[in-house]
Amino acid sequence: MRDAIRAETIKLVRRPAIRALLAIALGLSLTFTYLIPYAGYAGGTDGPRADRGLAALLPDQLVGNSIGGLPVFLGALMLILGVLAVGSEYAWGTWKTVLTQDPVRLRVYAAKLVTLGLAALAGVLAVFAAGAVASVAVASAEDRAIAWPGAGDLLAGIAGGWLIAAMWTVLGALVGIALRGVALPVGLGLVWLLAVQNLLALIAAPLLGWVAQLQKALPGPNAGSLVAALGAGGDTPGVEALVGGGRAALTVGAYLLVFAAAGGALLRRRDIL
Amino acid sequence: MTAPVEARRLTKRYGTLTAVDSLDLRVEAGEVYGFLGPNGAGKTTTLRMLLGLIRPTSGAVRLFGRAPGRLDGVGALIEGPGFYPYLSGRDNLRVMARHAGVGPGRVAAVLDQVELTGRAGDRCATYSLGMKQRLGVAAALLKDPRLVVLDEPTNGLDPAGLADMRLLVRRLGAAGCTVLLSSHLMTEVQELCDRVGVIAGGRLVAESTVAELRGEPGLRLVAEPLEDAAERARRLLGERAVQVTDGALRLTVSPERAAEVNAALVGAGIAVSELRADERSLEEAFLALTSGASRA
Repeated sequence: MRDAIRAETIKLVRRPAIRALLAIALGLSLTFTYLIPYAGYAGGTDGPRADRGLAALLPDQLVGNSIGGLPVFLGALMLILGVLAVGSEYAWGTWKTVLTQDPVRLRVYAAKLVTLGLAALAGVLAVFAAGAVASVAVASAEDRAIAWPGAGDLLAGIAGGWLIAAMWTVLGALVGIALRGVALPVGLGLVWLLAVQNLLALIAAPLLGWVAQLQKALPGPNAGSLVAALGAGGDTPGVEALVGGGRAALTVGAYLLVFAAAGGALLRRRDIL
Repeated sequence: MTAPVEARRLTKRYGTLTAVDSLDLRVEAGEVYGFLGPNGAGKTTTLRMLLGLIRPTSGAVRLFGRAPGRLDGVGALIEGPGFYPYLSGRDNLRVMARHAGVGPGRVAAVLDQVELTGRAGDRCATYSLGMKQRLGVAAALLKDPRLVVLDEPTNGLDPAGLADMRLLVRRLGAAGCTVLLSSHLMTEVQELCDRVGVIAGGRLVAESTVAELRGEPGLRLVAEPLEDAAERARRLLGERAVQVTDGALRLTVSPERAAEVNAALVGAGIAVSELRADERSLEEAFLALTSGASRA
């Protein structure tokens, strides 16, 4: 198993597309969490976050700022990560090469999941680290005191962020296995995350009571509720406290396990063509 | 002793299509077994079932007496090599070695075996088809296998690569490794294989040595008048030993009797213009075996 995890790590770490994903995640996160709000604050412009002003950009807001993107755009990037790691094995015809070296499919799959889980953690930590640097820069530029969140809040934020990131990543892996490729799983995954979730939340839920109830059981709204409970601002897309933090964490964890099990069952059962 | 490969009544159906139909296959230890068949005959599906990549609809597979799910001592290259294009050839093999649970020392050894060491540091995306094919064979050899399954290993190879591949298969065979080689290149199989199985329409239509498959040698005779020559030859050799084909006679008789046949015909006043040994090629035997099934 350890050898399989090392093999999967080499594949993931050496892949330029994965590094590009990380760079895009950090770039988008810094741009929309710090750069644009700070530019708006400095220019005195009214906007979605203008009321929160400088206070929202300081180090003590690090947890909420770092995980606020996970229900939607960082989640979308995590889903792409999962699809790339698993769907590419179909696209490149490498499953047959791997599985003739090690025919125990669930071992190979478990190694992939462990590696993806570590990659999700690395991604979350990188967003926290980049946010910490950016918030310190803002505080220093504005001559404000640097106060960090408590260790407990920080750990809870990282754990919650990882849980959501891992859930989206494993969903990507599942869709990659189900559709045996990369392009369609990425396309459909993004349509769900960026379009359908918003349509449900903004159009269907206010009109139909059962959709509003259904929202409370879907992965995206639960991810939004979890990050809201951990301090993410309600003006961030996808962040809304529909359910309590504890219930949201359990629901996201349950989705993670269900997605992982479904992917394993499909991979084990189906022919490698 | 347990056979390296044993399949009994192996069947794979996709809906109403039967890709492999009740196929029995047994490859003995140390032999180079050629698995022949036209495109779409079911060769690759059979090999994938042997390796556990495809689940049979029915039937049983045993490799070294074990059920599918264990491939230690088994290496395979199936239907073209699949590698990670952004990794070098060497790193691809390192990844595969990790999955196989073999030491990194094997990577250099197999690269050397397929003569790819010089380009091993280059990204796989820059490799020609022939180089990828050699890398695929290198991956198949990582476990220092007792059984190697090679599906069309010479696809994309230039003449020098073809010769190298033949040499490699010969070496594997000489070293006691069992080789199951699927191909539609008759010369390759004729030169390399001890026994041959021919699959057509998902069924094994023949299994024997190459020599047996090619049938008895004979003589080709061109003479004038042909009917008289045929009549005289039938009297000499028997009715069933003489066939008229393409303006000539095909005599099913040992080529050593050429002088006797010639003397008999010339003595009867028949002008013999050509008399030579005629051995059916494996290709002819293959076409004869598979043409009916392919048309079906």
